[in-house]
Formats: sequence, structure tokens, C-alpha cells
Amino acid sequence: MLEITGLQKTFLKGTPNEHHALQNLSLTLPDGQFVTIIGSNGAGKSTLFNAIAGSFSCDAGQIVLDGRNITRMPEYRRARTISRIFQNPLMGTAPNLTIEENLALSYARSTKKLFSRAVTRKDTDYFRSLLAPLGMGLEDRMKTRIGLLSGGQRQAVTLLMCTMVPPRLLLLDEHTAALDPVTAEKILKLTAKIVAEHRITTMMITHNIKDALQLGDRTIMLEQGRIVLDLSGEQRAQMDVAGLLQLYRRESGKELDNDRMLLTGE
Amino acid sequence: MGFLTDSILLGLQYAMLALGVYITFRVLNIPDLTVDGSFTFGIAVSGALTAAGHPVLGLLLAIAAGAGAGLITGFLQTFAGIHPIVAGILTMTGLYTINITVLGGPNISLIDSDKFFTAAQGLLPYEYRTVVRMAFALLIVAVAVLLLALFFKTSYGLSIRATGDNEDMVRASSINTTATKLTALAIANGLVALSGGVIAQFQGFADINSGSGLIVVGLASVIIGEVLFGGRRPLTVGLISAVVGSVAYRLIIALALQINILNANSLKLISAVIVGITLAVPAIQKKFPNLKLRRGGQKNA
Ligand SMILES: Nc1ncnc2c1ncn2[C@@H]1O[C@H](COP(=O)(O)OP(=O)(O)OP(=O)(O)O)[C@@H](O)[C@H]1O
Ligand SMILES: [Mg+2]
Repeated sequence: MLEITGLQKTFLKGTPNEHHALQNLSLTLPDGQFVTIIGSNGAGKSTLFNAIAGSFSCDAGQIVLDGRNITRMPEYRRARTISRIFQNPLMGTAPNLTIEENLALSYARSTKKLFSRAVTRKDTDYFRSLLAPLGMGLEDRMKTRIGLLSGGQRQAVTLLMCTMVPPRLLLLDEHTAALDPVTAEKILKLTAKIVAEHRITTMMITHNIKDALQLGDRTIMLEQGRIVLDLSGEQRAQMDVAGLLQLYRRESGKELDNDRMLLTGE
Repeated sequence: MGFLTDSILLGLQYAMLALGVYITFRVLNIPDLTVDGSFTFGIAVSGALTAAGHPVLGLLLAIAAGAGAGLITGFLQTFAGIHPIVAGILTMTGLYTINITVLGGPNISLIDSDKFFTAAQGLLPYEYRTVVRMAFALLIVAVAVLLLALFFKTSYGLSIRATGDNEDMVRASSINTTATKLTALAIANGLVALSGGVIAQFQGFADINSGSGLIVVGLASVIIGEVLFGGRRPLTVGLISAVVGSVAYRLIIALALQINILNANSLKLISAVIVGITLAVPAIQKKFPNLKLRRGGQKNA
């Protein structure tokens, strides 16, 4: 369970470019919930993830994960329970290590002793069994450097790495946006499958409103660092792209001026 | 033939230097200039203890001293947030004072002191003295390469390699990258100091100025090794290629001196030029894609 209360983050405080990226934001996610997050460019979606993952410390507010206050915990320690995938497929893997070494690195984080062999025969077999269902033939290329794989292949491996030891919270920041539509679809399906299998509490940022409404069980919209829409249950099940735009207009009294969301939302 | 065995022996002694540079420059991807200082630190510690009658302890403490120097550079880089190059220069500069204090002067002779190989040499007839030296040098290098190869295959070793490859990702897999960097710098400079410590005892004197410019020698060895092994290779092969590169570097220089292409004073300039050109290969290839150069450069362009 994730409980965020009164989160504030201001960039470039005290300068003419001062920017309130998160404004008194509160949000509670029960265990196993899959929330999709939409909002225009610069709404503060990635900033929210940065705050949760600990990339910077916030000005005010509190983040509690599973009853533990992690507001001041350093990033690498939060990473024991929070996994994160970025838009750029290059970010999640180490290019000069092989596929099996990359997987071993993630696997080691909760199962291994520091100074034991990183990749045993048994590990290799286990990694193979994880890779085979992807249908990308990666299980036969365990000793290939990750840097030689395509973006989609790398993102698939990243997804496995982030979930092979199921995290308490999974943050997906437009993790399919850099992929071609077919591969993106594949990775999204895989995401939904893995998340459901392990009942991982998940937050997924996307610019595709259709995906946002279809995947998961709750959708929130961010604007200028605030949550402006929060849909779940019956209301969300009835909602389509047009309905969402209408609702937004009614709630905020203005048009949704976002180009990118409209374009990818049909 | 004498110069051949001499060069191989020298190359093996400097091989630990090459291994240390390989770890910082290739594995960790950080240029570390501590090397000149930590090498001399190894000479000073090993020299002082050999003179006091403890040659083996001298080698062990040389490793510890170098590791300490590496930790200081690492501390400056991480906690103090100083640029890696500046951090290395600071440690190296500070070490000069420490080294001269440890040694008790700019140089001391160890001719009459027992060295770590003296006992073994005493067991065999005089003609075998070079064989004994060669055996010891080979043994030390082999043990170093073996331990490193095993270490970098452990989970922690893997996280050090990944730190040099994609630091953000390592931090995101809940590994403290400050710790991995400090460990790698300690190991690397421990090796460099061991190199200095061994050399001091083999040549029978310890000199405070022996370390100057050695970073370039280390880089040259790593690069020559990579050229000989056809580019950057998996880590274990990379370690071996650094050793081979170190020996090849000494052979090339001995050959050049032998046939009088260059004199001893021009060595540093030649080394610097070679390293400079080789490091520029990827950039040159980017500018002129049709140019055919060695494979190693292309792979990493
Ligand atoms: N480190 C930073 N320093 C200064 N300003 C920042 C920083 N990080 C983010 N911002 C600003 O905060 C605002 C929110 O950025 P954020 O990256 O969270 O947007 P986003 O909702 O993820 O947008 P996008 O859909 O484009 O990814 C932007 O105006 C951005 O310029
Ligand atoms: Mg973003």
C-alpha cells in the first residue's frame, strides 16, 4: 500500500523560473492496484515518479510504502522495493554486460550473497525459462551483450529484470513510447500479464488515453502538479476517450489543450 | 637474448599497473590519475619495510597503502563531489609528501637487504637467479589475474562492472554505487602499488620519482593489449590482454632502444603520442567513416 500525503516540489526556488511541479499532492494506492496516469507535457507525472523513487527530496509531504515512511530514504535503498522503467530503452540495462549478467544483477538483489558466483548453471536455466515466453528468441542468446539488442528487446529484458523479484511498487514512465506500435503492444500485454500474475501495485504513465482506460483498474489525470481527475470502478468502465475529454471540460471549465494526448487517444 | 628476458620480466612487474589502469579506465570508466602517486606509495612502503628486514610484509602493506590512496580518491569523487580527474591529481600530489616521509629521503638502496625472492634464490645455483625472478613475477601476476577474474564474476563484481556501464541502472537495482566505485578504486590502486612494491625489490632500490608519468604507461599497455587481442573483449580476456600489453610495451621499447631508433629520453613523448593517437581512433572514424582502421576502435565508436 502506497500513501502519499501533501507532496510538494518546487524547482528553481527563488528564481524567476520558479516552478511548482508538485502542489500538495495526495494519493493512496491499495495493495495490488494498477493505476494509469495521464496528463499533458510538463504536468508533473515524471516528477511524481522521481519523488516516489527518491531521485530528489521533496520540499514537504510524506511518502509511506507498506507502513514504512520512506520520505528521506536514499534512492538506492528504496530501489529494494520500488522498480522503475523509463521511456528510453537504453536506461534499464547495462549495454556491455550480457543478457544473463544483466538478469543476474537484478536477481541478486534479494536472493544472493555478495561474493558468491553471480551466474550459476541453475540461474541460467531459470533466466531461460523467463525469456522463452517473450517469443523473441532471447533464451538462445544468453551470452550476447545487451547493447546489441533492439529497443523493444531491451525493454522486454528490463521488464523482466524489474519484476523477477516482484517489487512492492512498479513505476512505468511511458515505457512503450519509444517502441514501434507492434512491439509497444507486445510489451504492454507482457506488462499486464506480469503485473496480474504477481499482483504488483503499479503506476503507469502513458499519453495514450485508450491504453490508460483499458489497462489497470484506476486512471488519474495530473495537471500542474495536481490530480484533476480520478476515475475507477463503474465510472471508468463506461468511459471512452470522448467522454473523458467532456468530463475534463466540465470539471475544469476549459478545453484539454493537449495535442499529444488527443493525437494518440483516438 | 638478454634484453628479451629482461623486457618480459619488466613487463610482468608492470603488469599489475596495467591491471589497475584497466579496472579504472575500462571497467569503471573513470580516468584515475591517482596511479602515479599510488605506484610510488607502493615503492616507498615496500622499500622502507625491505630495508627494515620485512620484504613480504612490505608487499602486503604496499597493497594496503595503494588501496588506501584509492579510497581517498574515491571519497573525493563521491562524498566530496570533486571531478574524478581533479580528485586523482589531489591524491597524487598529496602522496608525494607522504612518500618521501615513508621512505625517509628521495631514495634508498636495497642492494644489501633481503628481498621477498632472496631465500628462493639462495636455494638454487647463481645461474638460476633470472629464472627464480621470472617465476615469482609470473606467479604474482597469475594470482592477481585469477583473483580478479573470479571476483568480477561474483554478484558484487558484476555490480562494479555495471556501475561503469550504466550507473543509473545500478542505483535503480538497489546497489550503492558509491560503495562499488570506492571498492574498484581501492582494488585498482592496490594493484598499482603492488606493482611499485615488487619493482622496488627487484631493482634493488626505491626512488621517489619512479611513478611520474606512469598513468600513460598503464594506458599504453591496456591499449596495446587490446590491439593485440582484436579490440575490447570480455573481462577475463581483457585482464589477460592488459598483462600481455604490458609485456609487449616493454618489448617494443627495448627493441626500439636496441636498434637505436630512439634514446631513453624520448620514451615518454613516444608513449604519450601512441596513447593519444589510439584514443583518438574512435573519433577519427566517426569523422571519416570510410577510413579503415583497427577493429577495436570501430566496436566502441
Ligand atoms: N530537475 C528539474 N529542474 C527544473 N525543472 C524541472 C526539473 N524536472 C522537471 N522540471 C519541470 O517540472 C515540470 C514537470 O515535469 P515532468 O517531467 O514531471 O513532466 P511530465 O508530466 O512527465 O511531462 P511529459 O509528458 O512531457 O513527460 C516541467 O515544467 C519541467 O520543466
Ligand atoms: Mg515525463
